[in-house]
Amino acid sequence: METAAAAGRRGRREHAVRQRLVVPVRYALRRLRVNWPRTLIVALGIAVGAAVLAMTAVGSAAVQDRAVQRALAQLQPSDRAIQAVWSGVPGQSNFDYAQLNRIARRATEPILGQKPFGVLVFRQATWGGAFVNLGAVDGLSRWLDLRSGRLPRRCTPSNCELIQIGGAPAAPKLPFLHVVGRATFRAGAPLAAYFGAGGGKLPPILLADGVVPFDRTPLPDASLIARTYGWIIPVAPRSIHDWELASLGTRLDRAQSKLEQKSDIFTIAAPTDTIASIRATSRVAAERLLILGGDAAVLLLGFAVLASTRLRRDHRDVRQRLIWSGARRSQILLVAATEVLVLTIVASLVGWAAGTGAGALLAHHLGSPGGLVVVHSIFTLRALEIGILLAAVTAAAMLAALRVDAVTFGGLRITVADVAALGALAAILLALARGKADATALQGSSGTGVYVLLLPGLVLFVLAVAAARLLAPALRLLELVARRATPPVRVALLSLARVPGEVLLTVVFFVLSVGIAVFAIAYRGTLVQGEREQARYAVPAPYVLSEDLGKLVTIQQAPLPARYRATQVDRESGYVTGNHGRDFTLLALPARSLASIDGWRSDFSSQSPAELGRLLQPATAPSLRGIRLPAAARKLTLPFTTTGDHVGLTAIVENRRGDFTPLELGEHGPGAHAPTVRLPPEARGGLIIALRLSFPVIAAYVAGHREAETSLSVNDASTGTLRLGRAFASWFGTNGITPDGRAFHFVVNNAADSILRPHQPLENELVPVVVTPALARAAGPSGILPLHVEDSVITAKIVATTRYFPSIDGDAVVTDLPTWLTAANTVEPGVATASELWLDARPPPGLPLDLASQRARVRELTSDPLARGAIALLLITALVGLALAAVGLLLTVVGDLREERGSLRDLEAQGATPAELRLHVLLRAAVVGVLGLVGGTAAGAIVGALVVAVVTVTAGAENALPPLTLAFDGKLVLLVLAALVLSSAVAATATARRLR
Amino acid sequence: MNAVEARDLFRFYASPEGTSVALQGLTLDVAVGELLVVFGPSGSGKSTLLRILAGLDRPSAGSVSVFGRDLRTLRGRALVEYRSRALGYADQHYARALAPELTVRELVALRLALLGVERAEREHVADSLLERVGLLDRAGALPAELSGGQQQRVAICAALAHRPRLFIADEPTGELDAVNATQIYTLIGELSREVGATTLVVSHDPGSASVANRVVQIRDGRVSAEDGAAVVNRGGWVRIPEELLGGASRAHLDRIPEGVVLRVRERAAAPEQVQPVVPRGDVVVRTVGLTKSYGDALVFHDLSLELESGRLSAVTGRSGSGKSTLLHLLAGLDLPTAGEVHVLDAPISQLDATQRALVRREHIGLVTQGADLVPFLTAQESVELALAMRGVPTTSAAQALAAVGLEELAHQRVERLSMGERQRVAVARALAARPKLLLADEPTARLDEANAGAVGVLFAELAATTGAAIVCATHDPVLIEHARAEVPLGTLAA
Repeated sequence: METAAAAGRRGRREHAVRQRLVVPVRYALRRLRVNWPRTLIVALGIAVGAAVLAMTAVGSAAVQDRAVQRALAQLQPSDRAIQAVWSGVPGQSNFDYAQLNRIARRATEPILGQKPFGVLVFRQATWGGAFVNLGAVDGLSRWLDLRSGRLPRRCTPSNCELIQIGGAPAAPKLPFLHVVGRATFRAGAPLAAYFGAGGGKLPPILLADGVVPFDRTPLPDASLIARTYGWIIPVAPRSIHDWELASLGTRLDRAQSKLEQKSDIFTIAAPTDTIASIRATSRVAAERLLILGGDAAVLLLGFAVLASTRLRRDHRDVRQRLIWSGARRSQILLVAATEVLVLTIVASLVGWAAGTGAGALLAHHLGSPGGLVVVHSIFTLRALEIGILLAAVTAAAMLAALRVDAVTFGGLRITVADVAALGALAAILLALARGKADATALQGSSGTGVYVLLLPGLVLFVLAVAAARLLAPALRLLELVARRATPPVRVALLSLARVPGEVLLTVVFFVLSVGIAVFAIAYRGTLVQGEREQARYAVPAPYVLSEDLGKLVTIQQAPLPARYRATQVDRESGYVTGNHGRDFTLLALPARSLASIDGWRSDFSSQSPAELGRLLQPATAPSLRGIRLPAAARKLTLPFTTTGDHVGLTAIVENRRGDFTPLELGEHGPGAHAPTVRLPPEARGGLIIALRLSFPVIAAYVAGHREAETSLSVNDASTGTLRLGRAFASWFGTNGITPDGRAFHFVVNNAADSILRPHQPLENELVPVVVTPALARAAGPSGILPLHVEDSVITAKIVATTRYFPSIDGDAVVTDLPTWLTAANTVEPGVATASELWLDARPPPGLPLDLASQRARVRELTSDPLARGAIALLLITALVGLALAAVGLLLTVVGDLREERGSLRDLEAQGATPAELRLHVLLRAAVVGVLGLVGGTAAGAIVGALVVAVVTVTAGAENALPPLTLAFDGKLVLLVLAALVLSSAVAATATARRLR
Repeated sequence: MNAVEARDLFRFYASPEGTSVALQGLTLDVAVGELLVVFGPSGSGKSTLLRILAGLDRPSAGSVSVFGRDLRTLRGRALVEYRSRALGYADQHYARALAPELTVRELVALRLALLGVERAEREHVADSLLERVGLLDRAGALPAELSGGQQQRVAICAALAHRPRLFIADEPTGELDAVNATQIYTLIGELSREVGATTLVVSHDPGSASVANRVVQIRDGRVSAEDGAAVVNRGGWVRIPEELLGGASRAHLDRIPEGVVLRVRERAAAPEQVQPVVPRGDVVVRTVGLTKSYGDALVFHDLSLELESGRLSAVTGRSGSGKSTLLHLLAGLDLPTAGEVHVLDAPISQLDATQRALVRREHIGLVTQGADLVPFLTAQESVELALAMRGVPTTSAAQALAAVGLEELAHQRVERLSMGERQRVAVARALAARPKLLLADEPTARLDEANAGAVGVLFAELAATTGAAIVCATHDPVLIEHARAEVPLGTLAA
């Protein structure tokens, strides 16, 4: 049994152990309190780094959310809803509507935390003599645009007002139903799945406001009529956020399960696949911002190490003092650790708070709810973990820099920074081994992207340490310069040459901060330039008109006034066969217009667009041959005689608009004929380029049936002879036509039309083309490439290659328009026409064509919140980098004033004037500054090039087309750095004024 | 068993400029409870010996034990235990030893606190010690609020609060005046005996011998003498005092029945009689009604004096009497609160900072205590720098260093030199520049008596040969002895 004395001894021992821990902590806190001005600048640096990190975290979440909202806005209205649906006949169900309503609402409300609105729709039926779509919607008026009358009041069982949508006026003759107005559905109303658009040939829709009261109206035999009940939660932009999407699937499953427990007729419908895809895309936008986060983290650590070295001398004194006071090593460590930890924690908290605030403002600027974004980005377990980890790493780095001396390995001094740089280098090699990070890779990656995106910071750090390593021997050369210098300058130079340690660390930090700033400026410039390039690439002329597939009016048919100078372009899809079979886009445009094409970049091809144009330009512009129709002719009469079977005849006329008019001449049996057709205006004065002989329609029908009803293939055909006038003497035929003087023996069937035409200028000639390298490889060494376009095969000769060509995504074939049209219409007359018009001036409004505007595309790209967010963050990062560089330089001056005070006092005692003393201090800072500026600019440019090469994502987080190229705006960088130099010089000089 | 037993200790330091030797075969015993004073010139290895005894450094060769513990093998916990419980230490730089953030009471109790002693107990111990040294009323003050003597008393209390078995003090009065120094030595003697500590005091101050049980001299890293008798080191090495050699470069030893006789064959030529070349009596420095105060603290008031060329003048006075302040005012490094300072008729106190610097550069040499020398310059570069500042050819730098006995260390970086050696570099610099006014702040504070005497002779010669006015702020009687005039502060002030 323990005696009281023993217990007392043990208590004293425990107390002593506690005291040994408490005393160093108290001492450290006292030091912090008394010496706070000395540590303020350190805390400031850490706070700024933490603030950038926090802002990046919030900004990243905001950008991701904004990307989700953008994608949601682009969804079809029918996809923008989550709904529970019940279809059936109430009479056969165990539940009445009230019960179904309760079940559905309980299940669906938790999905998004929103109350659904109810919908009821009867199958088309006759009510009170009117054949209508009858139904009800909760809160109906918000989905309607009133056209006449008024909106219905909320329905009651005895008096239910209805509004009609579409169709002929209809009014059920039931005393409690009253139609009070007409309306249309508002755009985006999620009701199309229930009611369609209404109108047209469909029966009219009659809707009441309020499902529950409508369900209680005394509709005759209503319980026996099938209907659908729906409970809809609209997924409008801003109704759901990125952070809610992750668990959406689970919540939907849970809701489905709840509903199925009650009735298996219930189904849940939601655009889950679309939402999953949206999430993946939005992640790209967010992860790219990690570049900045990575930079900020590296900057933070760099500053921490730099700042610690500045406190190192002070801590050496403390250590010495404590050693003489008999402190244990653990107690000395505890003092340093407490100071560093408290400093780091307080500064980090302040920084995170400031960064969070700034991030919330940024989120608000992007149109996201700042508070919610903060809650879901900063107040999360992951963010907490990252924050704690970073604070711990920062504190550890500071502590290491404070306490760990360099170790010597085989004559080589290795410092904490060296070890960290080696670690960073290993991480870089690992990341590079994992390959590029385009938008798809980032979507698909679960972590790879993070490695890649952290690259810039790591590379900068390695470059900075490497620069410092190389700098040490270079600084020794200053001894030679020092010999001839005035005494204060000599002392300054010798101090750099002989005691380079802290100077090198300052240079490392300066290279780091300037490098990050330069990188941010360069990358921002790259993204901004990329936006312009993407717009010009996508729309290679100020305005591009193309056929509106909804209106089916060709560019030739659209009435573009003659004053507009337009370049005609043909765009086709095609493919090449063989082992290297690939799809391509063919672009035919006048060869001479290549020289002035917009969106071209010199890195696309080794040849300029003008040179490519010259290679494509034919010696003489080819054109189709044929029989010219008189301009005044209103009718065309084609006399001919035929023998044998019936045959259909069509004249293909190249009209004055530039496209083709087929003139049906009818089907004719044996005998002499002179069919006459009216010439449409555009065909007058046109050129008959071919006659098409076709299998008669009836014969084709019969043949088709015979083929279908037998197991044998029946190649039924019309055969005979066609005699034409003198004008057709030199014509020849394809696909079963054999010329015989002025007569043509024909065999036509269902398989293909037969063509009768004159010899064309490019008959059997190769079409010169410029292609992408992959297609050139497919052609092989001969350079001859059969192009499959539409149903024709046109053989081309490759004259040059280009990696990209404006407006084409993927493999490209570029050729001269007249050559192309002549060649294509030779093979298949009347098929190839220009499909686009490229204009310099805005076309008149009202054209039934699709209009793409380069300026509008630029506006669209630059106004994209994602792009704006990314570019704004880059700007902020650049400013923070520059500010920290200035602070670092100031820290150098302040540190020198404190740590060099002995030397300065000595110089002063020897008669150095205040100006000379200031020169001494400022010269050191200037050397650091110049080395840092040069190193930082180079490092920033290198990292910028690396990032642009590795992260091929645009400002708007899409794959870059054309690929981004580094836009190193030398003038801007010089301007910014000059501002930095000026401000630093002013601050440093002002600080050095203490030397009076 | 002795408290300290050191046998044939060697300590080498490698540096880019070569290897320097701090100890070369030092052998020393200290009995338990003994108070030993160690004298020795700067660079003789005193501080290295203390660092080894404190377990902060290890000998390159030889053995050393303290209370039977072999310090060569003491590591980790045992070493920490030794340092924290068995050892007490007082440094000459009391300001560096005292944490500026803690109060006097906390400073004295710090070691006990780090050992885990309860607050009440440690404060009781601290208060008892402070009462013993007359500082209990200042227990709540910060070190910066105390005078130098008071701070050193606090430092000694802090070093003895845990009743160490071995107390070592490195030039504890190096920065104090004679009165304060005497008080401190008395205090060390009394307190160390009270707590039963074996005490080892390194000093230049002959006054420290008054409290010693035994006095040893260290020269060139060995014990050269003990209580006045030369010590024969291993291999027969004996250090013959300079005054016996008289500058001779050869000597013969002859055995006689009573012992051994040293015969000096070649004597160096007697120094030439110094002839004054500049008439004495020109006023170089004149102060009129000089007053200096820092806030409410008045340093001196209405001080008027004239210092003439060709004279070595000693400014004396207790610590805090304003000796250094006066020198700074004369050098134009500080400005008076009231009154005027004229140097060579230039009203230096009325000039701006640049003009004052130019006057300094042109006419004034300043010998600091050596701590401020640019550490990464070599001794020779330091001297050359001073000459270059004045636009004087730098050829005389080596000669000046030789004059203070540092020719062998001319290419050693200042940071590798002992404090005493640095002080000699500062003196050499002033000598080389041959200023019209030389101001020296405690130039012999870290020098042994011989070196201090040499500096006194050098200054007197310089004054006589160049007509410079040399003003030394000092409390060193050796230097005061060479002075032709004394300016006792504290009595001149009205």
